[in-house]
Amino acid sequence: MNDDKVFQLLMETNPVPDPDGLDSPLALAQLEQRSPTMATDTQSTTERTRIKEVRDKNRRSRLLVAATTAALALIVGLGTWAILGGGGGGEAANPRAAVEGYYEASNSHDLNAIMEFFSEESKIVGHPADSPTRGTPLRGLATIRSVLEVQLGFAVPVNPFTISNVEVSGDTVTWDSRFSNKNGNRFCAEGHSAIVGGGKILFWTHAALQSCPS
Amino acid sequence: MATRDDQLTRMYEKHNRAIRAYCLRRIDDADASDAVSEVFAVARRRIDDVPDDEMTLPWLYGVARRVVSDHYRSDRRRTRLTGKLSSVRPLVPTQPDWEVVQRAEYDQVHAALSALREKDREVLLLAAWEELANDQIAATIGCSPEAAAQRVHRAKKKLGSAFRALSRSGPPPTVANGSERA
Repeated sequence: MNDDKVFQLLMETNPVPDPDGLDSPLALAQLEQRSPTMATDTQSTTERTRIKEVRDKNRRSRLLVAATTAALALIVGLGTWAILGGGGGGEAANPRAAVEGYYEASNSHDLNAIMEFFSEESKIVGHPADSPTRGTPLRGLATIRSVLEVQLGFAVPVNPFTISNVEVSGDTVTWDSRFSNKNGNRFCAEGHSAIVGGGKILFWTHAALQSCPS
Repeated sequence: MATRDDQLTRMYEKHNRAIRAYCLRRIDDADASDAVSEVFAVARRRIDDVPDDEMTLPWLYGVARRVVSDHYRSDRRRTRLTGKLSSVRPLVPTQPDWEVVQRAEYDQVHAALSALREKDREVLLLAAWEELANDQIAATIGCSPEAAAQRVHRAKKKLGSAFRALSRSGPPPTVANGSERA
């Protein structure tokens, strides 16, 4: 790629390409969403750290349980762990249920059902369908709905999402996802992280969408 | 005869969006609002120094440049340009496969930009984001138009070289590591 093409690429990354449109409602809404963006690098680092911590913690928990299965006290502990995150069922299983429910609703192409898993306080960072405000946290039902509607348009009608490596620690869920588009290209997103409360996804750090390794 | 306040009002009405955009491209919203106020406060104090017509905006950019620079120097308010650079926008809504490629290219050009010296980054962004001509860049940074033209030319070459070097060595870490910000 020659120097002029690289410079052209740089021009395309202009965060405010239309200063005259700054007063439009859309621009104001986008700028409003952009407020926390400045902290995104830190936030991403924090979230990545949190994903690692959750996974390490769960790994340690599983080792501990496997090593002491015979001990009654740890059997009780295992039961507690299952209730808190690993086993499903009960109020504490809601974080996992919300994430799974979101993907079930997505695969049913039901935007209203999808939105049941978000609230006005919900935020999503790094959603790949977030074209107009790429990289900025999406906040609130209207904004999230508009972006997920784009997602329904390009992915879900043809190929369902699948999720794997779902792990729960307290109110935090981590997982990987994948789907194929209508051209048969496979996409993977490893390392989603979401904080769930009251059955709603409150803060979802969307993993990077990349071509799946062949 | 127009008063100084009239002159300032006209200047604000004509240029506040451009100055706001300049600040928003480099610092966060809250600080950008403060910075815009500061720029026009300086303009008010130095109204006799403000050049006429087409050189007014570059002069204001020059003030904004120093104001933003002060914000960078303040640890409390510091916002990394790389954070701002992550807030890129594509030209059109896209299919995901195209978008993945596009994101990788944007990440790569930002990584290349980050590898340059501050002075090179500055003239490149004035040319790329503010779309200033060489004489306007010269008025903004305080040099001759010829020197500005040379600096832009050299900076473009450095950006291209850094971009191609990254292409040879693989995608930038944010993509390779699969972070949220690919």
